[in-house]
Amino acid sequence: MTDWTLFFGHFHPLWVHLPIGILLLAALLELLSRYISGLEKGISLSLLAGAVAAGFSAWSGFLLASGGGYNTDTLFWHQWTGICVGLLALGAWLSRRRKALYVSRILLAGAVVFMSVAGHLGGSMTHGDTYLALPFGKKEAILAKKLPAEVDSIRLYADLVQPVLEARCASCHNGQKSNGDLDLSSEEGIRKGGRSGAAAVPGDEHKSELIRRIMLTPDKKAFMPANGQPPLTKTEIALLRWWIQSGMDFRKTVTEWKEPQRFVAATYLGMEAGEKREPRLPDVPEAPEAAVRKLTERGILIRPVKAGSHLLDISFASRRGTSPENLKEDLKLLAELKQQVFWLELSRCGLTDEAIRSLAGYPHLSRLILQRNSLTDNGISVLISLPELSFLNVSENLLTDQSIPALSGMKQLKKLYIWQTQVTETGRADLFRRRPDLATP
Amino acid sequence: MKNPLTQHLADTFNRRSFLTKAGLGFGSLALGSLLPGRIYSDPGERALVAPPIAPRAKRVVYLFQSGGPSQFETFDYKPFLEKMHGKDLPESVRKGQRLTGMSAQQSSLPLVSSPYAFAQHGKSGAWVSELMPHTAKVADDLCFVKSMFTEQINHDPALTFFQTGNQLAGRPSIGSWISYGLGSDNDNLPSFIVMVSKDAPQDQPLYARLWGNGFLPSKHQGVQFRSGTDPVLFLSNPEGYSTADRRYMLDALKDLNTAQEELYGDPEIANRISQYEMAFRMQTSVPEVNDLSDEPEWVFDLYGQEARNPGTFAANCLMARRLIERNVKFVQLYHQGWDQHGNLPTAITKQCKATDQPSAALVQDLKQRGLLDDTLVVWGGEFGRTNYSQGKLTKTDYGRDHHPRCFTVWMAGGGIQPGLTYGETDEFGYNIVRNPVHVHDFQATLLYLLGIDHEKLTYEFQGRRFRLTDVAGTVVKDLLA
Repeated sequence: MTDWTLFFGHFHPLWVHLPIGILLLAALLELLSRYISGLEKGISLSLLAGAVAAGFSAWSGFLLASGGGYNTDTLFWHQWTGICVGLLALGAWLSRRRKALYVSRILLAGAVVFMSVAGHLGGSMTHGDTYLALPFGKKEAILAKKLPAEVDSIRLYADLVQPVLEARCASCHNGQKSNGDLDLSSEEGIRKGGRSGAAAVPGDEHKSELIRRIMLTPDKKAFMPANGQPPLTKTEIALLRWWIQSGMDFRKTVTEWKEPQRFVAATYLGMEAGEKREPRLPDVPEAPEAAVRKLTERGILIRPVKAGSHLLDISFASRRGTSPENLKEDLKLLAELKQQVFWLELSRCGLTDEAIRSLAGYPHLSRLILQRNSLTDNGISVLISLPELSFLNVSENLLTDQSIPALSGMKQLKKLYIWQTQVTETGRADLFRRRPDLATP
Repeated sequence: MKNPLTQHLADTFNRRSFLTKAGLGFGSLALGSLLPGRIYSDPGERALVAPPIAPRAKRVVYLFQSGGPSQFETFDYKPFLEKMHGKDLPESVRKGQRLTGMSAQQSSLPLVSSPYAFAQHGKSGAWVSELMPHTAKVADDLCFVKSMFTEQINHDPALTFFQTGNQLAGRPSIGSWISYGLGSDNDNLPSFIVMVSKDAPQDQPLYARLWGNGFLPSKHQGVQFRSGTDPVLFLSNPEGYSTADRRYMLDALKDLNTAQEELYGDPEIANRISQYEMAFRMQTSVPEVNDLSDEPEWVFDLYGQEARNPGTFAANCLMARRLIERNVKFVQLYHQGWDQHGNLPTAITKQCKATDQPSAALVQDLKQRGLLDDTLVVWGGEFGRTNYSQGKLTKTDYGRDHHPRCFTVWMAGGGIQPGLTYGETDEFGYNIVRNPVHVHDFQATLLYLLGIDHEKLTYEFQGRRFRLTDVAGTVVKDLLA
């Protein structure tokens, strides 16, 4: 097979439209000749031209088919119905020359029927056999496709891999048209591979031709998807690779995948798996403006945690070394923002056991930094009343081992800093025994 | 005849500030929709009142290793190069890439393997060479990005590209963008502070424009702290001049400036007023932060005794921690001397010795103080180095030329996934084979960690909106914890 063969072969989809047009014109003239006289020569000429054009189409079709990659069954029928079109058109022309008008008309009608069949089969090979049905139903089916109920029930093949292959590969690699003898539309086809060998090797992406080709740069000849289509997205590539690396199972779900991979899988499907990365913040009413203004005037930094949320991130960083009276007044004002305080930084403020009492029961306080104050076990015990506290830094304070039971009892606590306190090694060991899950860097 | 009203307007507003005032303020233009309906603490003019994304990091320490540290002797372990040592770099790997004028004329490009042993460290099994024993110990806290790449092959454009998102000078530095976007968390110190190591070879110059504010209001420029007893030049009062005198003088000056501002409406006058005020507050805050007498002995054991010598990388790392403790938003350190075109083994050993312990100590110290959770630490240079030797490869000596196609950067804390090794280079260490991270991607990720959408933080200048990442950049979400 030379390059020229394929070059002319590639004209087949263009040339097939010539006999279609010309023979339909012949049929039209044939119909009109009942009412209009003088069309006979035109009909004859159209039939001959149609027959010749059909011959050219068939020839270029042979050349294209020699490139391979088409379903042999469909190709067989396409080829012979196509050849019949040419023969029937030729017969119609000959019988018309011999004035056998009825025979000619029947043969022409046959040619039109065969042409429709050949055209449909050709279209199926090029665009896939579901092409015609696509505008109906299929789209709705995709839209209505139910998302898996939870991340763990995402099926690797059916929910992740198959949609990618279907959308990006299957138009050329399907059961009908399998370029490179590769069919990516079915389980068997994927297992079987193509002319270049195994498309996907379970557990070894490096031996998987499919992965190699989609990861090439688009200027490479072997790059897929071919014909200038856009490359697969990073996520699509990742999903295919992970699937192959994790053993290429057609039944399993993402349960065995690692967390980042599960996350990508879930977000690919548009599921709400983002919680780990974008924590959902509780809804609270807007903070009373007067208190915010007063605290701000006193040099305390108050900001929304993020745009659109009323939760506040409050820092006393510019209030270090303030007098106990001032601090007491600050904390009194702060209590008016009880609902909104989400992050609070109060390090090096001379905070005492007495002063910290006013922090009791802040409902949404999740991160509290109390570094370098003079808090003892007595003061620490107040913190138990904070239901959402997940991050606590009480390093450089005066607490002892006695605080360990209270701190380890705070189940919502995820990170605890007790560096440079009077907690002993025994105390730390005790804490670890009670709460092995708690991070105490 | 000029209309008196138009004349007054022309006198009152310059063109840019007029546009700003006429309801198209730069903040409101780009970010108006993000502003909540009330005024929260807002020390000075900045773009965002609240970050659009809940921030993971609130502060950044950027340990810039200027000159382009070799990835081969530090973090990117390439055992294949041991087999190929001394052989020529194959054209199939180089693929016609243009080299610098320094090695393009070489008759051969002999590959060099690292003479330093590599080992895997920590639970994460990250590869670190023996030149970085302290960094190796904190490997589980770090995230190594082995697939950084840049578009620039020479120092200044590459450095400028990393710091400002553009290879030509004139755009604001990362720290300036962050100061402009998020403002300051401490009224008494600038939000962007820069320190340059004095104990490094000054082989490639650093210019103050690298921490310049570009077209942003001038108060967002980085303030350089120098070594010695007077870290900020001209900050202390002259002898015999009291603080009260200074205050009296500044108040009078402020009155004059305010009058000028009312007359001309130039926003830079307001900037100047706020800078004088900041300087006045810094007369107290800077000596306090600069006084290491409250640091216990073990701190100097941790950072190394060099930390007692002001201006060294170790001392700057310790200062960085002190500034971070005081809520400074962006602390940028520069350590020069990584540009090892020749005599690499001797030079890199020295560089690593000066930087390894303090960098690791900073991570460890921030961690134990609970600051690493919301402080991002970045270590890296402006590009990498070639896998072949520049100049003659001998038994004990070789050099490496600039290589923009791949290099390693590590990050820690601030919402970065610890213990992660991201991206991969080929076995020659020449090209990236997996997960490339462009400089703009890095910058976008850095802003994202601080709660900023890099596409939304913009500033209108000369008729178009500018941003740090220009028109590119993707947040590398795989790096997030």
